[in-house]
Amino acid sequence: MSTARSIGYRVCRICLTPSVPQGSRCPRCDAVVHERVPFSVQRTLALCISAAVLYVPANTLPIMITTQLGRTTENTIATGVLRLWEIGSYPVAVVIVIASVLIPIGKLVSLGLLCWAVTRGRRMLRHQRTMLYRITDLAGKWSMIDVFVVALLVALVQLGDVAAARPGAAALAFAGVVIVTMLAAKSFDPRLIWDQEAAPNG
Amino acid sequence: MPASHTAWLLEQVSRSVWITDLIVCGSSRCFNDGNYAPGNSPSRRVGQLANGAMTEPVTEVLQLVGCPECDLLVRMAEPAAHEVARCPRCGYVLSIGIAGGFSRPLAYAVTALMLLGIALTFPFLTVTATGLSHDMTLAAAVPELSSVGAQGVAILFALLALVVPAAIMAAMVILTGLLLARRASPALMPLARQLFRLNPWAMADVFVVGVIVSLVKLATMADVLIGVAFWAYLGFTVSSLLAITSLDRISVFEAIEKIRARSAA
Repeated sequence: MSTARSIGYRVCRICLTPSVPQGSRCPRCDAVVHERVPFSVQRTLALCISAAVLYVPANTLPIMITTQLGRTTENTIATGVLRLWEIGSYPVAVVIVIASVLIPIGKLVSLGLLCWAVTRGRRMLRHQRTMLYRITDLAGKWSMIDVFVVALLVALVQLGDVAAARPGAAALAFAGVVIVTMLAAKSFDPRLIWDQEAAPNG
Repeated sequence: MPASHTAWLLEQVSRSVWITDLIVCGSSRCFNDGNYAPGNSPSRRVGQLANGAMTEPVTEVLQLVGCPECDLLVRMAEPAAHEVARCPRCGYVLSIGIAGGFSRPLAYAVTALMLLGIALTFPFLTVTATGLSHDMTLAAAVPELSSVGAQGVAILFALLALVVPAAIMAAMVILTGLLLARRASPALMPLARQLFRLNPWAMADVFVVGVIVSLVKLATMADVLIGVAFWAYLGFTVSSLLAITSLDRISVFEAIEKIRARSAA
């Protein structure tokens, strides 16, 4: 089985056509094409670190501020989940925990693991790594649930002085975490997993 | 026939939701069937149907594609309806065969846009608490959010849940329309490129789940009425999903090449 790299071709990620390197664009669809995403591991790790940094204010600052009859309540992601648990909506609390905690942390851990595994150059578990990459890429956008919930609740709960809601700073910080982790998954080149080909001792 | 339609539908859904793909076809058989390896005889191919059965060998014209996830060079024949072409090494779906060609994504995309029109103009949700009630319309929600001080959230919501999904559907209508009419246009390639690049950023389905979560959160403290627009938006989400999964990347670029070649001749 021959890879495109072994015969000196580049594959365009948009139109999947292999081509001889000429200039920086795909001869068929004119998208920018690289043999491998340049500095893929470095970019992915840098973006993962930025996402981890953003994750701190996303969880410590309030994500939504509600005012009911003069009383102001600030909620962080964690206290929001606890409130949901207290009032008995267990499935929704679980959904928020998965979307706001498990998925972002899972993505950062998976991408870190993939970067480490790729730089080690071992041939083991390549299918599993590919599956990990696909799940990471797929699950990324679902963390936005929390941001949309805040947007909806703020848009809906505008009943004058009886009840009003505002988003807190954590909403944008968390959106930043989601977007940065999505970019990190995009900047990781999965072809690197399959590049450790010729080493005879694995 | 119905059995294979169900299998095809499952395959369509799994194409956009890889986790079901793991369940449906997680065995190594799909990874290593080896029938598309370049070493094989170039004119014979054996296809694998969505339900796992193998077709009879057929003589076909093969084209060379590179797998974007494992960089393998694969000689691939264009899949017939309800067939799937996978990379033999990593199982990435390279191309799917759609019954009806480009008219199917066109239909879904047009439906999606019409439903979005309804979703934007009719009331989405109505909240009533202690005698006060507040309507929310998707289109009006964006300026309302900004006026309350939530500009960042408003922009994010507008882009990810409204603008990007709508743009993708509009691009798909124009693209498939041009391809079906075999009209040459300098916009064809940029349209196709941007459509496939924007796909990961369409979050209409995430928004729908967000709505459901909000409904549960609100139900304890207020009465919530679900308006027409919610069902229209749900329809828009389903229709967009069907449209995206029924548009085959390789067929699009092949068709653009053919149109270019014909107009150059």
